[in-house]
Amino acid sequence: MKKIVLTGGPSGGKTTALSILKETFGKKIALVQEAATLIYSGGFPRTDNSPIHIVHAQNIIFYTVHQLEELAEKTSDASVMVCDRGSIDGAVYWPYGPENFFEAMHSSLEAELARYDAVIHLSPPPEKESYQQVTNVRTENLQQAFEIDDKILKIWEKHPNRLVVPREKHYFEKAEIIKNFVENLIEK
Amino acid sequence: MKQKKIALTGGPNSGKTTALSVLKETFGPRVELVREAATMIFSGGFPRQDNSRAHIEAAQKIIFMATREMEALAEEYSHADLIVCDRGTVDAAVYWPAGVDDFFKQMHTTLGEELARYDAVLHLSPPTNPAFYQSTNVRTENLRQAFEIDERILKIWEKHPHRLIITGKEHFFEKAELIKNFVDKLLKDNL
Repeated sequence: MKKIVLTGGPSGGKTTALSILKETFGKKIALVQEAATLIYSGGFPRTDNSPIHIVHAQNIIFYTVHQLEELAEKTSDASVMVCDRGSIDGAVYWPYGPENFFEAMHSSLEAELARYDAVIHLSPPPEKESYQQVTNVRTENLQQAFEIDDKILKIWEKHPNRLVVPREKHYFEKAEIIKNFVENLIEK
Repeated sequence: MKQKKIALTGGPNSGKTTALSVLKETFGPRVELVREAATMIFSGGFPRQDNSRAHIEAAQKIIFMATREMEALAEEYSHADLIVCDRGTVDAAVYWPAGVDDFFKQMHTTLGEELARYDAVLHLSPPTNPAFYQSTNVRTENLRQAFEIDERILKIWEKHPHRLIITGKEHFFEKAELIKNFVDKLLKDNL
């Protein structure tokens, strides 16, 4: 089973893209839900988002990402697995920097990059009006969204098979680009 | 004063969540609550699907790990005298398809080590009167299953040296009183 990760800053349209992929490819793909959303919407105590809170949340998220991906590998007959964010993304939020993150997780950036056959990066839309801040889980504003997006762009940059979806395109065009990319992977 | 940690456990619908609220109301900043990892994972949307073996194993692994992390968070962050945990690491073993021994082996730990994490255990059993049984969005068991799970939880914690068991016979006010007194005593012993 091939494994694709869909990542990018907040409000890039990842969840919508996943729904479109599911509608388009049906049983050919298995979706893996975002661990961070699971943990936070489940009620992880964010409190004041102190470094201690972030560290423990990211420990759980990293572990959960691995478990959810393993579960999809074991239980699905799909030819492609599409993951809503990957194990690497946690490094971007880690208070003590990416290197410390991978050390704390007893892993390395290379080992985590190698988990995925392809990466799709979706950035937040450049126009302010399109930024959707209204979810229960999202706490960032637009400027922070771009900062996080840049960090995510950077941390995945060594992946050999990455599609960075142009951020200025309209969402339909973005969805088309993603669909073609996934189609290509399924057919290979 | 050394911070103490107790696990509040027992079968489904035994009043754990209510007891936690009562403890918080009674002792205020002296107690810090740690929420139940299983509720967090399942209400957060863990894909239960058909509750196949693979699904249960993945869920319980995450629950075990998240329980440890949230307890560590409370220990590092809170200055409360007492940490009260909505269920403990040991509880996941009860749901593990290949049995208790295999669970601790897979988690690279032992029952003894996990029991030693807690200074005391409060066990609340489900009400014996079915009229008091409440279903929730997260709860999937019926009353008979609730008692089966309760039995298994009773058994797995039985070697803990400091456990209070509150049966399902008492009314909730009596239960709450017993719990309050138990915690009160723990806090006083701690002075």
